[in-house]
Amino acid sequence: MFGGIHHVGLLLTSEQIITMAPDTSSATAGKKLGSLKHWRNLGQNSLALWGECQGSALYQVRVELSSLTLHCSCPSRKLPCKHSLGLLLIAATFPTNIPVTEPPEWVSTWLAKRTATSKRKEKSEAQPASPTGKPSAAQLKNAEKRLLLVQQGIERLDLWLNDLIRNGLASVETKPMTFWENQKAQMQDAQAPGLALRIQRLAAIPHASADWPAKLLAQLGLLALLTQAFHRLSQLDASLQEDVRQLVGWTLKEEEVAQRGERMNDEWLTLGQLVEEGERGFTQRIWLLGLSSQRAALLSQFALNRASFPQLYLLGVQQRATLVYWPSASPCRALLEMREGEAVPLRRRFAAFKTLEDFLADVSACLARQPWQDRFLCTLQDAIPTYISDRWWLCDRTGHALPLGGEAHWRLLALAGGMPIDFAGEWDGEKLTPLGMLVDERYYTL
Amino acid sequence: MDAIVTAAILGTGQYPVLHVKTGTPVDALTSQLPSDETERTFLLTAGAWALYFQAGHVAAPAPTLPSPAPSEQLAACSPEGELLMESLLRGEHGELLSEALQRLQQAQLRLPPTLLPLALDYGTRSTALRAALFCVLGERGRWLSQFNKAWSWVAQFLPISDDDASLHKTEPLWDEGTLGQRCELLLRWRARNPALARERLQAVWKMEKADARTKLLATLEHNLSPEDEPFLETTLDDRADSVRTLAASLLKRIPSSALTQRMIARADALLDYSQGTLMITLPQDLHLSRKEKRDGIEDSPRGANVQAWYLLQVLPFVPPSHWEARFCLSPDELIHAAHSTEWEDQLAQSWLQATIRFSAQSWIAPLWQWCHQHPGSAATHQALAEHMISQEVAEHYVQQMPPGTPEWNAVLPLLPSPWSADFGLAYLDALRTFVTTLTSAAYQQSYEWYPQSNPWYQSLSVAVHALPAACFPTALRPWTVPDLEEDVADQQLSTRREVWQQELQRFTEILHIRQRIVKEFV
Repeated sequence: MFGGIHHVGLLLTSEQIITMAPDTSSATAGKKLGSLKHWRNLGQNSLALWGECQGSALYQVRVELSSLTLHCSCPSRKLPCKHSLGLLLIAATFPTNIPVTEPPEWVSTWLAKRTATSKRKEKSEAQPASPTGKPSAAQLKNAEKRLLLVQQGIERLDLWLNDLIRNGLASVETKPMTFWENQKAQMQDAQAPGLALRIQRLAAIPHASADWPAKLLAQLGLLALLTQAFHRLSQLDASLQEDVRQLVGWTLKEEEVAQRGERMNDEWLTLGQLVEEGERGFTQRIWLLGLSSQRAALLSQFALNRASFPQLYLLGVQQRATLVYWPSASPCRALLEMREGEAVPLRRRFAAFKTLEDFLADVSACLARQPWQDRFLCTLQDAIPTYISDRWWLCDRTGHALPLGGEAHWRLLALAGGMPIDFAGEWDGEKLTPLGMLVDERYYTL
Repeated sequence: MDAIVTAAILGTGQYPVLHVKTGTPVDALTSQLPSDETERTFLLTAGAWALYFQAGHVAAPAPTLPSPAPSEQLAACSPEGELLMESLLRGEHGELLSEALQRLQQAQLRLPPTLLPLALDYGTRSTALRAALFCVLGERGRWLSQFNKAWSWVAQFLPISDDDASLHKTEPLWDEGTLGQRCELLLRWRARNPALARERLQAVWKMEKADARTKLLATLEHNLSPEDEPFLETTLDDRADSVRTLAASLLKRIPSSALTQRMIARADALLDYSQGTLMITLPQDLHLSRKEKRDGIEDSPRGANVQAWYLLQVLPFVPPSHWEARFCLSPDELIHAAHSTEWEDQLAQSWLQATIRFSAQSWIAPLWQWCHQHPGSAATHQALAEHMISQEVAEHYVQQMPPGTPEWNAVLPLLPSPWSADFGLAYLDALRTFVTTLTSAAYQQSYEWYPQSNPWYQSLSVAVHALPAACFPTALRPWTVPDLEEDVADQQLSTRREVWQQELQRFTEILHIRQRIVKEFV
């Protein structure tokens, strides 16, 4: 009744496969290729699934089942491409038409290469990497140089902030864009891109809302707290030091995160994703929740255009995996180190806050640990979304509500029907952005 | 506004503030900041203040919640059905949406909640499908529509079922419902108790606006009888144009009404019969009197033949039985007599319309016989389009025509849909034979083979919707257009072949989807 891929690896329904499409034209094209007449040499084994699709040329598609890695020989940059979608749909709707056979050479070579790469990765992780072992003289010198630049940059920033507050926010109203952009450029030159980003965000505040002076003051204050923390870095806890360094602009490579970060193995639920457009491209945020640990985690990736994020994540599924958090006083961002077992559609009620008060208390606790955190995963049991007097609200069972950001949450309203559901969303201090909801043992991403 | 914000707007230079008070516990901390760094201390205080409020954010009290949606009475369609409906609602092969919605309704299924916003938006854009969409919205869909003004069209439909018990409880709806709902109510009452429906309408008549009066009056079309005549006569002088026209057309359908008697009188002046010939006297010019206009006779449009126009304004409103009585002739004889006049076509058309209007059973066969002898006439097409004859008879008629001709293609769309299985199979058979004749020699021979103007090509878009489910297996057997011969390399010819192939492929694709629709919604 529910089409599914019935074997080791994945249990996906056609609906879920369609949601993986990066845009509607891919979804349509993928559906068209989901009929057997386009496919030849279909096959599967315990590791992979494959087939050849007759499009404008003959394309070879391979799927590695445990990680849902897709590879197609077509030139499209979209991930997943329409041929990959088509193959997954075939597997979901006509499972018996895919015989279990020996993989052809082009599949086994690909699988072998992938195991080699992952072995290499594991090997390099097992060996002590040189950065923390014995940094070379050149690396030390560069680090010193950068530290000096940043310190000087921050000193100038503090002076600039003092000037700003001395003249008053009223004077900011008439300032041209260059006022902000010059300071931003200075911070970039000082190798403090994190601070440059904060200044860019400051620039957007004047006149963006009725209460902009209060908002601007708040952000300026937080920025001052940050530079203050930087001045006193050695006096902070080690984990908070990591946060401050990252906020100023030092980044960690994934290998470093893998070494220093906190590991967490759990059944992780992918609750949903948000994509934001920035100056240079698109940022994707995917929120996860650990089933037993009840820890939230954020996967983040960047791409130049919407349809080509490097890593593909299934939404609305539960899978055992190991995540590694970026070192932080309030760990949030993580990377996915290893998946184990099947990805199963999320059906059971997940541990969520019972009231908004509980959730906001948790937010306070996070802020107490890391004051500059600005995004939080909100999960709420028995929540009722509603639309009254042109405003969207999410109400909890105690009669309190938080505003929903954005507009036209009709699907959310339709699925809930005024009854309590389990809700997941992202809170930014002012509004909730819906990620997904669980209704009648089925998880819908929004 | 907080004191700290005011101070910030003015600036610490203007208004030197030492240890600005935020009025919160934060002050205990910030009072420890150095006093000699005014700006820095101010900023740090602002930071602490901001953080205090962020961490202390409290959720607002919730607004009063509207009542939740009532529980559903119909079952939702299957997940595969959901996928299918989603692609139809998004516009893929949207012309099949009507069929899909019908089948959903017949199967007593509803759309799943996740598709409701899509369906409601569709109804906002397309008025034609609103009734069909309404039937599959379920309780959740109707509940949802209250939140969005664009979806207010849903309120025009009646959410109660069509049985006696629920109809008794409809007083509040009649008094306060939307116009659409009240019209539907009237229709249902009219089906059971026409007199009661008319009385209810009469009771509120004077208070209704023109638009409402027109729509409500139109419901009297059902179960129209001479009893309705007195009321209708009064509405013949209504203030609104639309109401007057409607009243006239309704009265013209009652054979015994005064209006019809007046029409008969006018017609009697036109037609006479003596010594085996039918004589027709038509006025040269048309100067309509006020009485004639009141009775619904319209001015002729510019360029139209005035006499033919007048004939068609009067004659169709005379019950055919009148002529049988007056001239003591049978329908056959009357039709035969028309042959020798110069107005044969118009007479046939008029009598045809009159036959349909007054359900004159004895005229159907003779008129149809006449149609057989005059295949391309307007009357024939009207007979088919109005379903004057049974589907069997209509299909038989069309089957007598040689397929693939323009005349055949003209009547094909007029047949009732879906076709009978026999007719469908015969069509497919002839189509297959035709496709085998698509050789390069054929492409070259005449303009007819230019695909889009070929009647067979045009018939495909009619057939794809009219073929019944029983014919699907036959229709879905592969269609192959013959390959061009080896030595023929003409670009034009291969383009024509391409066009045929694509159209046949589209034909197959749409039939596949129709097959899925039949399979899923059962």
